Amino acid sequence: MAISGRTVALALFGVAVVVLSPAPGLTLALVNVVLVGLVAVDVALAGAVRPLEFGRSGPTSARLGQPVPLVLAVSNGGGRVARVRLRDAWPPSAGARPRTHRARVPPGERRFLETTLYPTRRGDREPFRITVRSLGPLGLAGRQGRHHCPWRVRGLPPFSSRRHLPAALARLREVEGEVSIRGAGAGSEFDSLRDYVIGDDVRLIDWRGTARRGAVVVRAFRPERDRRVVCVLDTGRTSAGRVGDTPRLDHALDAALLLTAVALRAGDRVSLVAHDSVPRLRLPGSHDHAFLARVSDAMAGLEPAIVEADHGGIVTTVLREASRRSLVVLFTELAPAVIEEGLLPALPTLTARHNVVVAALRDPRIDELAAGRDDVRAVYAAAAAEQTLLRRRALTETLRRRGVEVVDAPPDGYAAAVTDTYLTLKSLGRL
Amino acid sequence: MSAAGVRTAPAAGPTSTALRVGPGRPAVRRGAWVVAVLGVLVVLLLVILGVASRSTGSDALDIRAARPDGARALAEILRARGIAVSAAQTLPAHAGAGEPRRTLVVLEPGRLNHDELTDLLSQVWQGSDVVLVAAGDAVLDALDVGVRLSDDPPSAQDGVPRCALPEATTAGSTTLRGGRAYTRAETDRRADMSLLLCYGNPPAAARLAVLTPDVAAVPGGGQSGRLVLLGSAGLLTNQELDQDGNAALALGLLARHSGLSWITPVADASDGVGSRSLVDLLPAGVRVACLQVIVLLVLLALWRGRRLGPPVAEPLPVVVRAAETVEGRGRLYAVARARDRAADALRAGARVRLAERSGLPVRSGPAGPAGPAGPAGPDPISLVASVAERTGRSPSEIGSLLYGSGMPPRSHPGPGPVGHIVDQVQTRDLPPSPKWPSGASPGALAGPPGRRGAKPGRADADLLALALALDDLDRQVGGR
Repeated sequence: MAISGRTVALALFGVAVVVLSPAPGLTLALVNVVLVGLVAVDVALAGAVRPLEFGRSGPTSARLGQPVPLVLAVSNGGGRVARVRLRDAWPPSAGARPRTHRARVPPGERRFLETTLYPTRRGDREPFRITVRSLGPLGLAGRQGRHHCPWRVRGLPPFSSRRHLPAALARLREVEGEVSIRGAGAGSEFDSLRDYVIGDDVRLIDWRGTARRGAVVVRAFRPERDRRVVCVLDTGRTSAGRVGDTPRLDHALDAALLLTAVALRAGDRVSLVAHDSVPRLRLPGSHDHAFLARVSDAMAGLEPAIVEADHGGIVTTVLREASRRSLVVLFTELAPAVIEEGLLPALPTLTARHNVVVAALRDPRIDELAAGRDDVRAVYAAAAAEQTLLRRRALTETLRRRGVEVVDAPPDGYAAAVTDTYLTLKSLGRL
Repeated sequence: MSAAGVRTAPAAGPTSTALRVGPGRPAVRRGAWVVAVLGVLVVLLLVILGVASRSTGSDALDIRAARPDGARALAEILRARGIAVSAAQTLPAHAGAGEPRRTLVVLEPGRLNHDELTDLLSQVWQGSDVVLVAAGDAVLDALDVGVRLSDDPPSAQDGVPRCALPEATTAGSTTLRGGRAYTRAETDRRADMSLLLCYGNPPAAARLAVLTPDVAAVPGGGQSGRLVLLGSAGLLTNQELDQDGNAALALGLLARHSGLSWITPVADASDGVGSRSLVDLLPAGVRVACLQVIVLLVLLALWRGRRLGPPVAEPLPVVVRAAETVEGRGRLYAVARARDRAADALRAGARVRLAERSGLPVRSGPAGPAGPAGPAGPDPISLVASVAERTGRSPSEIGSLLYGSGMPPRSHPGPGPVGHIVDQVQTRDLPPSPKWPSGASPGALAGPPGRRGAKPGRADADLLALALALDDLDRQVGGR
């Protein structure tokens, strides 16, 4: 049972009546008896909450930043008109709006209420419960009850690096030789024979074909297709740190999505591994273009774990996952202690069988700190930042000496830098 | 409606081309609300001011006031008859039986306390006249003279005396119609004063009661004093004095002695028998209404307290900035005053940047606890030479700026552990920069941790100067 503001207003009116009444005591009693009587009648006449039935419809997933319009259907199986005020409660990060609804549902009819979600975080969101307050015809008081109507909305990674996709694909076409800039594309895989054009490298002339055709022909090459790319996401404690206002992991997901989109278009197989102390996610490689949606869906549930990443375990998982020679892109943080103790010892087995790219995110805040000269505290902070940068630099050198490609880019160019590295390796035929 | 349609057929159709100028509809509505609220507040303020500054009738029945509700006319008439009229706010000191008899007119007798009323009564017994205007129950109880307020107002409103009081019969009909009415109390305890009730319909309810002590003679001879209870002071005002027999009655009651005190007791006497607290003044309905207000508050609490379902719990992600460890380390340096370490780091960073600008190879040493102070970095000799050439500054100056204590003595700086240690020992022993104060070696500076937020000392200022000098060098090299 619940009372409404009207009851309170009525009581307030009662105060005025009592003040002005010639017989205040009697009036007081009378006013309250009337009040209780009206409330009791209203509650008795209110439509029951239990026979209401709820159903939902709408999308089950959306990229972060897009609204999710959900429709909640209320049907009244009871015998009286239900004048309801209801709250469709979602977790705060689902961003459900409006908070409450009002509806008047006659018996046997159905009404549709629209709740729009504006999710603020990745992952699955489920409604908590529907609380219904059914008021009586006077609007003084009513009954309250609850219903449960399950649903699930998955917040997918925003993939904000999509805007880099056209440029990356243009570069891919250039690499593949579909755009005639220098005639044939780069690469090492034999594609076809074509007529010699002045300017072609004479070493590319195919003498056997020339003899057969009577005209000079050259061999054209194209980049290798059907290569393997393994995206490895480190979901350990370093991935929880926020760069800008976004965790490192989300930046990494964004970059991995762009890489996946481009690599799929290039005809490569992409597989995905997420690992901290234990494997969190393993998505075996695929060609088909629906794979990008699968990757996106699988990424939705990834959260940083507050544990130290086990790089030995990561390498083992990758070795088990990728049997053929692959490009292993490791999205991790260049934290000296972690890399030196975890990754470096396990690296030789990995580099022996695969090409390894370490993609690290550079925090612009550190550069900002390193440039701080406002007062002496800022200079101390600058010294600390300088030290971090130097260590990072040393670590990058160490990794490069061991044959690992290192990407170290700030957030706004991170995804593009990773994809560029991939395209460069592809054009050099090093996949 | 579209702009294109309007442009092609400007005169066709009733479509208005007028553009709305100024604030949008919600803004107007909000503005109207603000104006309405302000208006209500202003009106409320004016009402309060009006009520507060309203004449409280303080000069009503004032013998100096010539306004309709003043009593100046009466005072002037009395003075013309040779009576000394004086106004007072307190009862005049009562000297005893020997003083001359006089008339005391007390307005608002409820403001007097019990002792003052008893004193007035004793003056009556000594021959003075006391006129109490509109005395209430409290005053009558305190006097205890066998008179009480009548329960019912008198039915006769004609202002006819209906009694044998000579002054009343002389005056005849008066305007003494409103105000309080008195009657005889059913008590026989104090029957030592004879009571005469006039006007209204005595004895059930009379507007005028005159009590005369039952004594054979007053001290000093002459007329005996009397206590007059006047139900209303209306007939004494300037406005009504000339109506009917008002003046005759007033003179008859007040002009019996040669002195007259017109007493208006001050209102702040809290021990007056007639004074009532604020709660007493409230109507009975208000006190009962307080109970209804409690009911209201309970209902209000029930209304606001019943929520539409509980808040929803949700596990929240960790929120930690990635640069937090770096910032924390910077603060630790600041607290520990680790100036030499900070200077080393700044120099190492500057060396790497300058080497990159100059195109010199940068060797990276083992990244470890040794950190940037280790032998990692560009070749010192070629770096200093290159920078000196680019900036035109002396190599020794640049050497001391970049390497702390001039050039390292090693001719072939190898990254071996011995060179490393030697380097460290030398940077520790020597002042890192000529700017450092000679007395403060870096080892001593880095010793005791300083107070947080302490005023930066000279050494701190030197660190800042070093950082700025390195920036300066960086700019000079980069500017080419």
